[in-house]
Amino acid sequence: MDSIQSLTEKLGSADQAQDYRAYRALWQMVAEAGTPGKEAERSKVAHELALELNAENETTDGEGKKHKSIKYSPAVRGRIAQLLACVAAESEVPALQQAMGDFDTREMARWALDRASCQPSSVALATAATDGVGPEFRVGAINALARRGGTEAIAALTKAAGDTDPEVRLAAVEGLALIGTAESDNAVAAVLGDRSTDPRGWRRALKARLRLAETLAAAGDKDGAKKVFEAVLACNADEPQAVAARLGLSKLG
Amino acid sequence: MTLLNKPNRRRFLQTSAATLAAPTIVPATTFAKGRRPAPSDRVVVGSIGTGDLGRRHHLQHKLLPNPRIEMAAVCDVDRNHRDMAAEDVFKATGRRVGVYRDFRDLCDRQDIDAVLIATPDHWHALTAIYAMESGKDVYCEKPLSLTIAEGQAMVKAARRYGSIVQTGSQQRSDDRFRLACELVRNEKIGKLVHVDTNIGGIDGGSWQAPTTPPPELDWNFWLGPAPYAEYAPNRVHYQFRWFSDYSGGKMTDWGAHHNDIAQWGIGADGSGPVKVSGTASWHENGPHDVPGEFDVTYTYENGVVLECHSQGENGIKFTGTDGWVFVSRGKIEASDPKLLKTEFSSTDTRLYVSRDHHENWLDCIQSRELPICDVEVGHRSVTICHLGNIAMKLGRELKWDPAAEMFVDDEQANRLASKPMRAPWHL
Repeated sequence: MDSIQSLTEKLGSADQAQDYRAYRALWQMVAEAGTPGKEAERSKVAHELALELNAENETTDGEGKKHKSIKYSPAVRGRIAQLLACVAAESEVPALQQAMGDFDTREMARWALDRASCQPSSVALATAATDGVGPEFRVGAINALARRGGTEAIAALTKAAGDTDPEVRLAAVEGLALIGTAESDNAVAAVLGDRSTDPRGWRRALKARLRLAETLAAAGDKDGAKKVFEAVLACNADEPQAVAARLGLSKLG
Repeated sequence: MTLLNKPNRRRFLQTSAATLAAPTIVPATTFAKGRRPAPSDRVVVGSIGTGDLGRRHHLQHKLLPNPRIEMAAVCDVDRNHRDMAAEDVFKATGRRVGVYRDFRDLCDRQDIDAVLIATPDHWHALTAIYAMESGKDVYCEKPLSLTIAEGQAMVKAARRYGSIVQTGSQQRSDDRFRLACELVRNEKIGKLVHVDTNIGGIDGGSWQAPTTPPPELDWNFWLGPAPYAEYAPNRVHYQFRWFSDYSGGKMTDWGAHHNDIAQWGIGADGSGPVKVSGTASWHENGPHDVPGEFDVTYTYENGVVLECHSQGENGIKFTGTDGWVFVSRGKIEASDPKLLKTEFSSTDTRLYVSRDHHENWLDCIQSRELPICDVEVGHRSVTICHLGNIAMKLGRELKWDPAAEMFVDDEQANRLASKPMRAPWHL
């Protein structure tokens, strides 16, 4: 059986069929390694993929100086990250975080961290959500955290709700809506901008409030949910959001 | 009694309680045949995704000829598709409708009551959810979703907004499929033991070199939440079905139809199997990265086994202890032909009657009753397909908890129940 390294070296081949076959073979290794009860194999495969993700070539120039460069193209590294998404665990977070530091690979590295649910990956995503370069990238990290939940996520999203970029702020409150507490509504309400200048953004913030109310209700905080639904109605919401608020209130009983 | 005027006509029923008040609306069936409803009684529709299926099947054959529908807008990320769709509307009605690239612009229109979504699968969830959040009722083509998580989010959105959502699994509006399921549900073939669904396979396709997208296509928007890939003609416009970033292959393309009928016959709407396993042949050289030929086995809590095959005559066969019934489009057969003339009694289980899938949707938009392929039905049926694909991808038997909607004791499988999305998109 080909090694992970030899198969990875075939990814990105100009021969698309060869590239495809290599990826399929790697995928089969990943699938096998992810079988419950095969933790040692999972760990080995994940480790080797993580090594390939940031592998370097060493070259020597005409003056005898050694230079290092990333071995694989961004496209290949992205596909390695996609494979890691299904086997990565805590040990692979540093490698993914390193890849997230490269503009060309950070999106797919973020995807892999999104899948690898553990505290170190939450910390890595939280840093990306608040300090990542580029609002779109921060939005991606925020979206990953929103699905994750947890105290790191709530803290990061609450901070991101005060971001200088309006899209980041909106993404943050949308994330808080999924995982927030009753206190999160303050952050959500603060993002409700000017309805006349940004009606779509205003509606997004309102939709986030509705989802937050639902989250609170599902967690058993009916009083908190009721307050948020009533706040939505009180701000002269558009008809769909008003209907949803009324429906939500009626379901609280 | 009259229909209320736009824009409040559908929403007044939901102002106070989840249970609907007695509607002060005229049932659709009171319209005399051939009489065109008054403008205020028509459902104003926007069509999102006007490629082959959206334009040829829905717009030309279902939406434009329907007197209960007023077409107001078309939307597609391919300029040619949306312009041709707009031209269809103009030729049929003499009216120029809104033409959009971005579905959000269409959905933001307050005068539109409902949307029909026929985009590639990876766009179904985001488009449908945004439409529901904008107060629209939705007809969404099957398969309802690309992932299990997307389907869950769509159900939540529908319930949150009280939206009427019809999944485009139109076989449930065909008398033959309903008869087959009623025979099964009423044990006319004895106790149900086994179901076979035969849905066809797919070849490996041919590689095409990446190239510059054509000028009429907004390729980045077409990709949307899917991972970035270089454009090649074999990725788009029907062929998307064979690439797992956008669809689930034959399993979701036809499985969403036949496994839906299987669920109906088994009586598993709102639920699903507890075990799934499958074998697949994968194309050796690509580019299609979905199963080529396959056999997937699902086991339900009550012991019924559903087998989904890529081979065999297209259709569904229910086998009971005392007989069988086979049904496909245009055909129904039974172990005893007399079964097909069964007269059901008042105590028999009768299933939802719909004679036309689009008409049922329109009826339900007005009555606010759930349509025959309500979003939950569509979600559970396509979940069957997703379970099959995941089992084949992982190459092992998986246990599924249909109540919690999670795999049991298989963390890797649960990772595949959803997919990250390219920013800024998210559920």
